[in-house]
This record gives sequence, structure tokens and C-alpha cells, in this order.
Amino acid sequence: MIYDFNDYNFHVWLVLLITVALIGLNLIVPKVRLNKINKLKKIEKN
Amino acid sequence: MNRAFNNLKTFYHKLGSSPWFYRISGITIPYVALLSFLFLTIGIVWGVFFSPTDFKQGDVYRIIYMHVPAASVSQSIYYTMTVAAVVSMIWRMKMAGIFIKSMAPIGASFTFLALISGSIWGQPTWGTWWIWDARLTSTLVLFIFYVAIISLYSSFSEKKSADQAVSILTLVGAVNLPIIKKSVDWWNTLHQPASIKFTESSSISPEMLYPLIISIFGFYLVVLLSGLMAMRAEIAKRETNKEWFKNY
Amino acid sequence: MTNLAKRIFYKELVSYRKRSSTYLSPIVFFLITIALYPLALSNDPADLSFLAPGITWICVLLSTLLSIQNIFNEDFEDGSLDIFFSLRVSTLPLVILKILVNWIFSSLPIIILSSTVVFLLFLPSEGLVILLTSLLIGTPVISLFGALAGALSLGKSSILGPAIVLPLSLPILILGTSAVTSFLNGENPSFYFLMMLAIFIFLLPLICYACIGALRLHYE
Repeated sequence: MIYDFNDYNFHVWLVLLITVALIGLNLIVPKVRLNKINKLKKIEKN
Repeated sequence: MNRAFNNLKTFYHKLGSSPWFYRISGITIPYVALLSFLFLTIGIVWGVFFSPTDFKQGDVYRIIYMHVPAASVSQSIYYTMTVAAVVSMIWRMKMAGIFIKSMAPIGASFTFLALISGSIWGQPTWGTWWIWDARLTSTLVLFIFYVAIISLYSSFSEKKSADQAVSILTLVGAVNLPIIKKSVDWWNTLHQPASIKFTESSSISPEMLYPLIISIFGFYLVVLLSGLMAMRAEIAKRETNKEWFKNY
Repeated sequence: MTNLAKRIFYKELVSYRKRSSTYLSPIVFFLITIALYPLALSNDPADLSFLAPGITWICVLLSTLLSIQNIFNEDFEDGSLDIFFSLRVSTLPLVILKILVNWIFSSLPIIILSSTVVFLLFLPSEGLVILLTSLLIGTPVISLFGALAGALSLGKSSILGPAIVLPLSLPILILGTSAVTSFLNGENPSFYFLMMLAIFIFLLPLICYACIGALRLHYE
């Protein structure tokens, strides 16, 4: 179990954080790009 | 047989049509998102919190559940981009260009993850953040390739020629990557640092292996998901003024 | 066909002779970078002679990069590339000849000049022939990569060139320096020469056609 904090757990947490951040970035960036275009489309339609 | 081939052919033609892809990817994305979330959380949570501690390395070995999938994914993305480059050069399929353009940043970020997680793993186990070992060096080269592809793409204003230029570079890179890998491997045997030895654990216990396999699967699914999303965004960007997109 | 090739060759020779900066700047660059290493690292002959093959190879690589990137630029800007692509002739000889002439004018002087590392960087003199041979076999491959980078980033001055050329040139760098160091350690370097030659022969058609494809992009 990782709960007992020894010296090396910090490394695992760091990698976990970077992993989540990078995956999140890869999902959020295209989402935001698409939303921006769709918003413009809606404005154009009205 | 013939019918199967014809189905394959129509599927290929549909794959080349951006409205079809936009529609289908819109339908499939929620399912892929659910699956990838499921596999990723099960794999990583199981691996990081519940798998047994390695008796040699201690808990730090748990980085494997992020590092190995990232390294595997980063190479596979380049292979798929190579296939797309061939398709784009021979049949001038515009979806292939969109695919390369969308996958290159994803590949770059996962290669970056593989590099940085390896480095963070190396610090406690080998005592250094970086060593000039064969695998690290060729992963670094792969990362530079991704960055070069991204920057070459952004240097063109015309999308069509950007697609073709990037396809050429991807192909040349794909031909050269094995040569680079071989030469770096071989260079490494010449300059083997004596103090650091890689102990490849040949037999990994099933309690450690199952979460790893699930995690790898989850990484592939999340790459599929972000690839689909990035391609959708790219299609929307390129075809904003097309009739089908306005009416979608 | 051969007539046309001959004319391209002479035209290239003349245009290089008239633009002395294109072949003088790599030479100056090479000498300066060679001089930087003793200043930055150490002036101890023992250290330098150990590092000499690597330093020479890196300097040659960087100074070749300087001129090869602009290989197609002038023809692109004055429109002669345009005319060539509108003619119904194969563009393969044009590309090969341009790379060849560029190599003669930018790499060859540097290779000859690099024999000065025997006394500048104290390279053991018996290793010189091996160093020059490795450069002679290796630099054409770098020229090929440079030409491709130049064709891809045509008309855009950017740092794209090095980002494309340098990672691709890694095998040549490794093989070239290993040839010299292994010879100085008393081994037979012919394996490295054969490997570099094999890479050159393998890549020559591939890169030339990739170059043509990249150039054609600017005329679509």
C-alpha cells in the first residue's frame, strides 16, 4: 500500500499528477477548440 | 469474400469523408470516453494503490503503470501516423492529413510523459535524473520528431500543402527511426556506463501484470478518445464554411 | 537529357562561384567553432586529442547545415524552379546536381580544412586519413537531409532546418566518430565506412524523391 509515506512515494504522486494533467490537457484543448467554432457558428446562424 | 472486400472498400471511402467522420465520431465519443475512463482509473488505481510492493525497488516501481503505457503509446502513434502519411501521399485523402495533424501533438505529449516519468523513476533507482542510455536517447529523438512535425505543419499557411509536407517528413522519419534506433543501441553498447545496470525483471507477478495490461489498454483508449476529439475540432476548423457543417 | 544535366551543372558552378558568401561563411563558421572548443573545455592536448573526432564531426555537421538549407531558395525566388517544374522533364537530375554542387562548394572545403584539427585539436596524425574518409562518406548523407529540410521549409526562414536535419543525422554522427575512435584504439574501421555507405545508398533515391515531392508542394 502506498499510504504509509516513505521517501519515494513523492515520485509516484508526481508522475500521477503529470499523467492526469497531460491526459486532461489532450482532452480539454480539442474540446475548447470545437466549442469555440460551434459558438461562432451559432452566432452566425442567428 | 468479395462482399467483405466491398464492405471494406466502402468503409475506406466513408473514412475519407469528413461529414461522415464528424457525425460518427460525435456518436462514438461518449462510449469511448466512458470506456477509457473506466480502464484508466481501474488500471492506475489498482496499480498505484493496491498492487503489491516490489521487494527490490519498493513503492517507486509503481511509476511503471504510467511509464510503460506512455512509452508504448508514443511509439504506436508514430506507426499509425506513418500509415496515414502513406495514405495521404498516394490517395491524397484529406482525412489522413487531418489525422496526422491531430495525432502529432498527442504523440508529443505522451512521448514527453514517457521521458519525464522515466526520469522521475530513474532518480531514486539509478541515482540520476538522466543517463544517456539507448532507450532514453531514442525516445528523445522520437520527441524531437514529433516537435519537428508540429512546427513544420504550423509553418505552412495552406492546409493542403501542409498535409503533404508533414506526410513527407513523417515518412522520412519512419524510414530513419529504425536506423537511428539501431545506431543508438549499438553506440550504447560501446559506451556502456559500468555503474548502472538494467535489471530487466523477466517474470513479473500476475498481481502486478494485470493492472499494467489494463492501464496500457486504458492509455490506448484515451489516445483514441483525444484523437477523435482533436480530429473533430480540426474538421470543424477546416470546414467551417462548408454547407454540411453549417447545417449540422 | 545529358545536355540539360551538363547545363544545370555549369549554371550551378557559376552561380556558386559568384556568390562567395555561400561557401565562405561555412568555412569561417567551421574555424570559429573549432576554436571555441579549446577555449571552453580545456587547452590540454591530451583532453583535446581524445575529443577531437567528436568535435570535428559536430563542427562539420553544423557548418554544412548553414549552407545546405538555402539550397533551393535562390532558384525559388528568381523563378527558375518554377520554369523547371513547368517543363515536362524529370526533376530528379536537377535535385541531384544541386545537392552535388552544394556539397562540392560547402562540404568539400570544410573536409579539406578539417585536416587542420591534427594541430588545432591534437588529433593523432595517423587518425587523420580515417577522419577524412569518414567525413567524405558521411557528409553526402547530411547534405541529403539538409536538402530535404531546405525543400520542406522553402521560402520560410525558420529554425525548422536544424530540427529536421540534426535528429536524422544521428546515425552518421555516431558511425563517423566511432570510425575514428575505434581506429585510434587499434580496431579496423571498415565496418563503419560500409555502414555509412549503405545508409547513403539506401537513402539517396528516397530523399531525392521526397525532395521533389516537397518542392512540388510550392507549385500546386
